Amino acid sequence: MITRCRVWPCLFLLTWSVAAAQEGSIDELIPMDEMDEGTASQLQWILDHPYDLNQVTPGQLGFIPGVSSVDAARIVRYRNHHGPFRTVSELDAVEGLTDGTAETLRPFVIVPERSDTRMKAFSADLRARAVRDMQTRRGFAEGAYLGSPEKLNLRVLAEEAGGFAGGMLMEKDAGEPESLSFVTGHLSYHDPGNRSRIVAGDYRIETGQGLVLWNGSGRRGSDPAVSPFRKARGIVPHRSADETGFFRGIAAETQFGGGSFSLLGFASRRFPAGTADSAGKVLTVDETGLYRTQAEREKRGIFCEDIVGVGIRFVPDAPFSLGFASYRSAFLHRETGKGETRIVAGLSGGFRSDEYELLWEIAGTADGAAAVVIGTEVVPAQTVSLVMSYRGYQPSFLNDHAGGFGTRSDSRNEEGMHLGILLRPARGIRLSLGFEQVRFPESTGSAVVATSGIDFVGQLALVLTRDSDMEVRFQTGKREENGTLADLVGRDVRLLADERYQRARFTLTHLAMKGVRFRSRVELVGIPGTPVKSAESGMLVYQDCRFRSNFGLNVDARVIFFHTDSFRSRIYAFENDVRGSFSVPPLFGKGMRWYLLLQYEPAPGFRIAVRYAETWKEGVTELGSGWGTIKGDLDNDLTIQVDLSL
Amino acid sequence: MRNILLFVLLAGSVSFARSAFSPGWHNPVAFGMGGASAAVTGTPLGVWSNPGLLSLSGRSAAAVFSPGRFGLTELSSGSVIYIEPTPVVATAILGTVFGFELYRETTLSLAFGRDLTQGFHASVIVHYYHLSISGYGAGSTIGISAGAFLRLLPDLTTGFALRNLNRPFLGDRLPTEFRIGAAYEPAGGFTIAVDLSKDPRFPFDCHVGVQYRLLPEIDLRAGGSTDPSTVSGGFAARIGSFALDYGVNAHPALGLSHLVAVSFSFR
Repeated sequence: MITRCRVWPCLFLLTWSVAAAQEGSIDELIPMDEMDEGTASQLQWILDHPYDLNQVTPGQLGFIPGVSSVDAARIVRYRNHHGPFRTVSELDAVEGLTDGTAETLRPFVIVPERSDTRMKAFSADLRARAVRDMQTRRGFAEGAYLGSPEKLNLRVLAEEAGGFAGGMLMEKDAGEPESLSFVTGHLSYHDPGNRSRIVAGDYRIETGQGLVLWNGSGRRGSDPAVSPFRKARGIVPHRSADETGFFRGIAAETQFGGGSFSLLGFASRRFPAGTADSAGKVLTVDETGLYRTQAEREKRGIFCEDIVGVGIRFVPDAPFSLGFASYRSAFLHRETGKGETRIVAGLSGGFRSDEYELLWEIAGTADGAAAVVIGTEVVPAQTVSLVMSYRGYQPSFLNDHAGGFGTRSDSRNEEGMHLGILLRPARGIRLSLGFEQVRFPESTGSAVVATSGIDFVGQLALVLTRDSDMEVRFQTGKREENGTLADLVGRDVRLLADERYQRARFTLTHLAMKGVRFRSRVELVGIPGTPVKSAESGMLVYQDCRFRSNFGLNVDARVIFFHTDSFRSRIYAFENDVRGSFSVPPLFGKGMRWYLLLQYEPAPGFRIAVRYAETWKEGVTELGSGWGTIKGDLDNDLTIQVDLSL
Repeated sequence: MRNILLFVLLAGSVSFARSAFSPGWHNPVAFGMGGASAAVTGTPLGVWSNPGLLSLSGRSAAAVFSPGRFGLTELSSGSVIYIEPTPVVATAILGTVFGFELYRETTLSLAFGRDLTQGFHASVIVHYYHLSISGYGAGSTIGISAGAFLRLLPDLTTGFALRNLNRPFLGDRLPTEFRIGAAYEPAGGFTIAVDLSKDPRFPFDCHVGVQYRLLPEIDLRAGGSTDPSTVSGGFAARIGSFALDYGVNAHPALGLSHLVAVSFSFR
């Protein structure tokens, strides 16, 4: 124990010599709470490989949180009218940009100089990561997990100025017996001249509003006024360790007609994991990517999915656009050959003016099910923006490759309205309001009948002083859930009850001195009782410290204390992790958690990162559940990562 | 019989009660303000609540005495602190004794703090804990705490402290606590302070306190906390370089506790 705490005096001593902060991690730029891993990973990629401001598309710009479709269109229109940007600072000259948009964009875009082109003729990134649980989980103790407890990740990405790029990622999860059980890779060629791209290997497809094809990520960030619209990027090479959300084969995209038409086509064959009954009928499709036990391993590759698809987009030099996407999938059991063929097609489009953009998509399956989404982004003034959307996804709309906006990941069995307002009444004040109403026409995991819910989020960010800012966030809502109650004669009666919830969060951030930032947070959650469930509450408080030196050493440390009645009142808080990794653990029960992340860059492009994290809970004899159970009250892990950029 | 009961109570306190090696019983300023003191400046005694306040104090010394918690003389405590600022760091030596002949907690602490930049102060403190239980033997361990103090605005301060970060073990885990607080001085001489503290074993505890400078030599204090629900009060009287601080706390079930400190600031 004493050895473990020696780092604290070291941390303290390090603060004697501090220097300028270095930005390079996505969490230093964008609030990451409630951000999904896929989006965070893609944003980190963009940050490491910024867009060329003279080549970037509105879709790519709109993917960056805080940049509306209207602003993205304004930037591209400025470029078309005034010629190429000479510097990134020229963003300030774009007429009508919402306050703060240029600042938000700056880290994600560059304007390469001619001399840079030669220097960046070839670039390569290598990454090796190992994660080790310090405690023995039940699966290892009892021999259910067949492999070693290390989690390993190796990634190589290369790119050359001519447009060729390639990459390979290999990963082994803890408990998997193979040295590297998941392998993904791609080769791609991108011609910026006619904006054509071809990818062989693993890739993702994003079209329209995601109702037909969307392997990408969902909602972005914690801001309630963030746009719910998808910003489709077409073909995107698959670079992450997500073991299910991609296609494998070949995909190509090209533009013609002076850039007005974009045509995309792809073909893929994958062998998904899952379970089937004795007749070969699909029971479940596994999306965990974890194959540690014999039972999990027997699920691997039992299906085969062949899929071909096309996408066409018409973007004339006019305020409207139109798109079409379709695919045909044959999902079969490899042994019995039984399965089903599915065809999905959809139309999408948009209409844009200087102050608003209307976006929509309607999709249908061959058996007549439909899904629709429509909405608008309005920017009536530089200090106000508004987003509104409606979505209606029929319960019978079965599309495994959809990813439309909504609370569910599969874009089915959901009808909802979303309203978001962002106000910047004065410099240093940012008020976001979000309202969401949702209805599930058929049963969901939490209820066997139709249910509904509403949610309201308000968030105020305030710059207090030059070095301090604060954020207050409040969320309240209700959702209908099933429960069971005994009647007067002791029989179980199933009830549908409104479960309400309130969450409040206060965050204070202070730049104590150059390179040293402190952040304190208090978060409360309250769930009033219902006829079928008791009232619950929870609270979390943390103190975070960030140190950035001018000699290549970055330190992030946090201590968290939490106290909730149960998992139901759990609280999440985003944590700093090694680059490319993502950590948002649910905290519940009584306990404390702390982590320390050290990142050192002894030479440009060479970075070593070490992270230690532990959770300790009071008064428990074991942590976790199932094969992941740990005996005792301590759960700790160590991560080591090496990055090399050439 | 009374000694046996106390012995059982105190032996159990290491595991179950907040009082074991608790610094809250050595700062009458915090005691009088319901425990809200993580961001309250102006006294060397604040180091007990938040080590981050160390580098705000000049050379000073103080002695604190509690005649017995809840009126029980066996639960008396005494402590001393000496602060010596140097050009590089401010240092402090702290010592506390609690208990009676059957049960004795002794703590020796060494603190280092520094004003890292104008308005931002940080400290670490190393504790040597020694516990002696008659007939059962003795043991000791090391604990590490840290604290910081920030002046956000001229009249708004904030501070936080982390006690026993390394979760030292002495028969059982000694209390680990996180405390965060803010103090606001809306008018000259009037201060309102709020602290939130959390020991993983207990619910969150909210502390609220006020301090009013009645005369240049006299401060009045009052406050309360939520878990346990207590009310408290106190005062400070200053004569030259000397200051006398008194705090009283009323526990709803256990009754009154008193704390007195005499401090001296070397000019």
